[in-house]
Amino acid sequence: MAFVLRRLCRLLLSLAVVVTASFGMMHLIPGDPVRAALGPTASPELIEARRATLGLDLPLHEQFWNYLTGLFRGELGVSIATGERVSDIVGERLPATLELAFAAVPLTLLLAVPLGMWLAARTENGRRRGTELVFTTVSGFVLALPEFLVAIGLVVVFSVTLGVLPPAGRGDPSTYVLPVAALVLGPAALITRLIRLETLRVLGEEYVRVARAKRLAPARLYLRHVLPNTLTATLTIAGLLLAGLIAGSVIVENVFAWPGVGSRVVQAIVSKDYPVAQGIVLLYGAVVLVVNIGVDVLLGLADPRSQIRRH
Amino acid sequence: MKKPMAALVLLLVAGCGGTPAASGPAGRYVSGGTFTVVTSAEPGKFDPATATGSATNAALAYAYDTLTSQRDDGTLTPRIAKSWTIEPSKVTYRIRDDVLCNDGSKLTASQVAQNFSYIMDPKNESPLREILAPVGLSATADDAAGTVTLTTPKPYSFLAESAAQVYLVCGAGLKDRSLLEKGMVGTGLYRLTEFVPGDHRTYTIRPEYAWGPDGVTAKTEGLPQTITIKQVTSESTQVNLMISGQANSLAVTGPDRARLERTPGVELQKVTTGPGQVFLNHAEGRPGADPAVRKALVQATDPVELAKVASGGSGVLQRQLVTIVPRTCTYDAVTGNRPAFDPAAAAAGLEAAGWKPGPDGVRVKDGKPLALSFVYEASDAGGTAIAEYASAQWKQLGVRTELKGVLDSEIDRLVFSAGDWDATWMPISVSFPSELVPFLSGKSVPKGVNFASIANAEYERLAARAVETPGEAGCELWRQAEAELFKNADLLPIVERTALIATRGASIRFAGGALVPSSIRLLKG
Amino acid sequence: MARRISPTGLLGAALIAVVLLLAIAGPPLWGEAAARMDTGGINAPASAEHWFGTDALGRDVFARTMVAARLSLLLATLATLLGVGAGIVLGALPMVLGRRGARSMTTVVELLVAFPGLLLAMALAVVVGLGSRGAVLGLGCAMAPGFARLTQTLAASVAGSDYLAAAKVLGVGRRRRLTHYVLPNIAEPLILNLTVSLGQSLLALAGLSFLGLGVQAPEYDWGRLVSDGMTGVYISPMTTVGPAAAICVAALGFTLFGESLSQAASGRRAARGRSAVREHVSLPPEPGAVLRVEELTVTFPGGLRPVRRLSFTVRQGEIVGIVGESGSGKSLTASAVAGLVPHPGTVTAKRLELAGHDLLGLGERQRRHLLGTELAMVFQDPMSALNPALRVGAQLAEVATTHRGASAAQARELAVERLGEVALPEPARLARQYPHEYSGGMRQRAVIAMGLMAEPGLIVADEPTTALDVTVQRQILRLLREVTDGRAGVLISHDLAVVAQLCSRVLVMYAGRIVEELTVEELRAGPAHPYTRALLDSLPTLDSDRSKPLRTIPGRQPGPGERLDGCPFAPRCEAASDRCRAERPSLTGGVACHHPLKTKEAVR
Repeated sequence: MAFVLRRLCRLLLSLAVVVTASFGMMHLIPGDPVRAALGPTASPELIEARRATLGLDLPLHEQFWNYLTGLFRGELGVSIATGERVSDIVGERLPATLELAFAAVPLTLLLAVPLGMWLAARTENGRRRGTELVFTTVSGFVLALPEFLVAIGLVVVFSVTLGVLPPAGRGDPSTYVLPVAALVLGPAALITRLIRLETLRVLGEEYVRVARAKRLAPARLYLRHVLPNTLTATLTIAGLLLAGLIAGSVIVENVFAWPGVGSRVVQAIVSKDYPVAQGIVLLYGAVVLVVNIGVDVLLGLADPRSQIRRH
Repeated sequence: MKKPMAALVLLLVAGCGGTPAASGPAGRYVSGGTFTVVTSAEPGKFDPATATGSATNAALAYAYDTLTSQRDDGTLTPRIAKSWTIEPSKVTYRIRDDVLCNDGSKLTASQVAQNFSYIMDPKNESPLREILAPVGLSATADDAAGTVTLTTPKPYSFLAESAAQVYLVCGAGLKDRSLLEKGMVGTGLYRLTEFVPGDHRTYTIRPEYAWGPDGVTAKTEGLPQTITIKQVTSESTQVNLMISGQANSLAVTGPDRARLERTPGVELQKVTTGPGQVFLNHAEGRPGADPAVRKALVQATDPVELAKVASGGSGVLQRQLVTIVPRTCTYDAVTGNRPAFDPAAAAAGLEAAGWKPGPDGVRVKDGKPLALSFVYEASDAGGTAIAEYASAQWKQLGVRTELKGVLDSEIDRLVFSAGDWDATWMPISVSFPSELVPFLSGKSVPKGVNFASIANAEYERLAARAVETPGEAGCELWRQAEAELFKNADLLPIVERTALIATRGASIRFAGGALVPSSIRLLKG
Repeated sequence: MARRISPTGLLGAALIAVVLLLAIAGPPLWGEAAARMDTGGINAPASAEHWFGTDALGRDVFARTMVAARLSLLLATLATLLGVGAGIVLGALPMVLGRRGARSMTTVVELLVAFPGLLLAMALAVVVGLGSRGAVLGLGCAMAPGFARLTQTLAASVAGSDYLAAAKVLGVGRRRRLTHYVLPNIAEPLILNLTVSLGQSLLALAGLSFLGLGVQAPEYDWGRLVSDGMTGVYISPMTTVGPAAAICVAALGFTLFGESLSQAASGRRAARGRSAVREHVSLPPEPGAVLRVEELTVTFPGGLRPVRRLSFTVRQGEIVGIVGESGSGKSLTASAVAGLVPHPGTVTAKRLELAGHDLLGLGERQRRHLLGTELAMVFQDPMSALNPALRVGAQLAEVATTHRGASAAQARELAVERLGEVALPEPARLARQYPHEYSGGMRQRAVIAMGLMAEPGLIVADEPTTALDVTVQRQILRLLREVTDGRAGVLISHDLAVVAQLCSRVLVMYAGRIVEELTVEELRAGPAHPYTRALLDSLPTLDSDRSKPLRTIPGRQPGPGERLDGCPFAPRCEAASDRCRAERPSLTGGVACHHPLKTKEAVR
């Protein structure tokens, strides 16, 4: 219980920091969203009037106070540029981004964990240098590929040339294939590497030597003795990956015209559309923090030494 | 990330009636399908009184009607208005009596008038107020006679054309504007039935619609049952969608047009999208305040090359400030007036004005180097290319140019209030030359919008006359007025940018940068 | 640091060299071509003249790619250095601040790590203003939290070290502890990470450019070239792919090089190897022998032979002790018998027989079954011998399910029974617990119980008491004696006293060979080999004079790679003669010595 309370306290504190930081940062960005939204025909009087309506002529601390009180009433504000309600934007777009992230993470782990373990078992202790060499080079190459090139490459092959998958948009399951693939490739290469190293570390542990002395079948050895001990690292990475994908799918969303928050937040930051940018960044922060807590709890449950489990 | 078109889109585009869309042989069309339009900008707003920007206007055209619409040749045709009479400072419309609002109520003359009153009321903060009638406007209605009268305090030559661009809200939407945000309340051929921000919106045909231009009704053969507007930012992705058969219509401005040309079944039509021009800051203390400097800067650049660079080879030379078709006035104010490309004359001109070559190749006068700050939107490929190209040309002239690519939201602040710039790529898309007057004369920033502090007495005089002169005579006056600007090297005309409108599986007509909803016909096969 | 760079590391180094060369030579060589505008050939696709096509002003993209190497590398380096610098400061601050300050700093870093880096970079780039300065600052700041976290983790591991504790006791100030003790010790992993991060920075800069927030005209880096070419990627792919390939090459170079550096730095760990290889046809079985080993040799690549032609037999009911200094090959002998020699090592033997079965002649399955049922290993460190993620009972039970076909319930019952046999109180409760809930002695008991699960004929205990404190040692030794009753045992130890307590027979190993084989009585009476003697003399006894230091054996044992013609102990032996240095004595009469000691003294 104490653990949960402590974590909740920290979550609230963190959210407060995210709110303040996003507000401060957005207001540091140069530019004038009101003028941009109204167009240059707008007379200076009209711009002033609009600014006053939006409360942007108030001193910064009052604007912050208004923003905060708005938040407590559950109001995220209205887009300066398009007039949409921020809660609508987020409500419609966040699920799309989350879908991609939540599809990509399990897939990445399903690919990376067995592959990483298999490679570790194969290349343990400098055996099969060839396999290791090929793997390091190939995964290094994949990691060195810019994400947008991967995405475009997939579109060129599967949509434009072969015509088997839709090139863009969000709809039936087939539309998920390419964006998810583009998101998975890089992280899968990275995590396979990490899992391999982590498995090699565990394989070097004394208890694995003991397990080997017991002459267990390989499946039992790897699944029961090695895998659980790589779990801490795996879960931590998975959490970071999920957080990273939620915020980092900007580029893939752009290429596949995916109606997620990523493309919108870029636009909002660039056009200094405070309410939208603040709202999205705040929700990002919240999702990332919640994911982190989730990972911590899972780690606690997975690790017998943890405190959470006993209470 | 690319922005679709011009930076400042003042454009108010109306769906146009006029000639029906390519009327092919009977049986060529198929009714009841879905027509998918792909657009790069988020259309956003649902309230016509707050809408600027071509994407927004294009999306409004499906649900709202206008009083009249403008043909490609600039003439007006009936829509909600059966007929009208134009006087120098007054237009009187007779309204059809069979028009139904999509909330079920009947459209009345006073409702039409309310639309204009709402826009003109300063407390509603409508950005359309200055565009609609720079001289002011009042609207009155006579419901019994079914007439609406728009009156301006002094003559305004484009009043009828300008009023043709106002989308008419009707019924309950007029009393409660928040209803518009939930679903557009208008008299248009379609009604908004689904809206997913940032992804798509769907319109469904109104079976009761019977007041379309040229007799178009909901039963007209080939009209789609539903229209989907999909928002896709990347142009390449848009083209991918069309190639894979998931889009019926889109506009391309970039190199991907070559791919569409290779795709069978894709119809392409070229339309002008907006101008490209460089303004020179005339403000006190800026190098551009010196007419000799401005003239030399213009002379140092080759207009043909500029147009090519600005548009990737697809644009045409800019001849007048208004580039959007339909144009009420079409003329060439540039040729013979813009100082001709002549680097030697440019150098001689600077020399004569006292700008002598300095030690590092940069010209100096009174100890001040001839250095310019060129501000442009970094997301605008044309502006970036022009900035790089012009700075290279000007360098040969002995002018140092510092390039400053900035964010879309920052350029307005820099140019319209901070004033810290010497040259800027500022495409301003307007429908009427009169809309440009406040930018090219009068109070400079920050009090007005004359951001380049242009003071051209001859332009002001001619423009003031042109505003009040209707018809051909008015257009000629506008031509002369603009010619004065180019002669004086007040700004550097560059390009009329074009886009290719690609259509697949349907025939459409395009006007004023927007698709005409009533012109869509789905093709068989 | 770099012990051995792998081939991938070499590839990485070569790629980096190419990129560095470009950064130096690119601008002078291609600078002019890169700036030449040609409005006649705007946005042209790749051709023989323009390998990567041309840009919006007709400039050659290939030349621009070559020239851009300098700025791209410079920006990536600056961003990385900024990120590392800020990260180290953030991460090291807790070491300098007080307890409360440290805790709040840690929380701040955790928060920053949680904040999406790309967004941070974007926002900062926008705040600072578009262009290279904004991109570098944004990216650097976005990288800082990651490095701060790394610094904290590394610093925390140093913080637990003995030398830092010593420095603290000596009154070394916080700041000095940081600069003189912590930073130097975490510098290496930080530098390795920096190398990999350079590659990531290049990619991130390209990402920022893709979003329109990177380098602005007239400057250009690879990222800007890629994103400029992007609009035409389907028409003129090389215009994008060309500069993107440059990014790939550089990023790949940094990644591969950085990784191989860190691998070389951390070294490689040992684990299991292949099974033994028979050298000769086996001889008929010897009755009563549980384990028969003849001419067992363990070889590692590079001519290393830590175990050389070893022969011994262990019979039912006896415990044989193998003693020797570390490096004598005694533990490896146990591993070789159990088939656990780590990978590059190979095991050869003339004979390797367990419970009457020829280990060398069996297939993999049968060998695993035989070793799993007939042989139990007890390892040195009970703290690490049990899997921390599994319940102790499950670790015991799986032996029975694997090798004896027991059902899960039977196996669980058996596990509890065995835990009871090793005198653990409340075995049923303990079986459900995790290893971390056990004390050291309890764990060693559990390991022994685990060994007993399959009713093995032979128990091999490798330094089973070394890691335990003295009182627990006694109990474990007593337990080992009890459980080997009626079985056979091998006890490996460096401690003659332990061996003398438990064993009936002793093998003394030196430099991979048995130098003396004797019974415990003989050992007590006085060994014949001078090495055994020296080992005995180095033992403390109750009556030894505490004021005098214990005797140590001067010199060092020859390494496994050294070729020796004479007696390997000769250089350290007081009695060594010329013959000892020239001719190696063979094991005859239980001793391999040219000059065995005749005197018989009582031990203790």
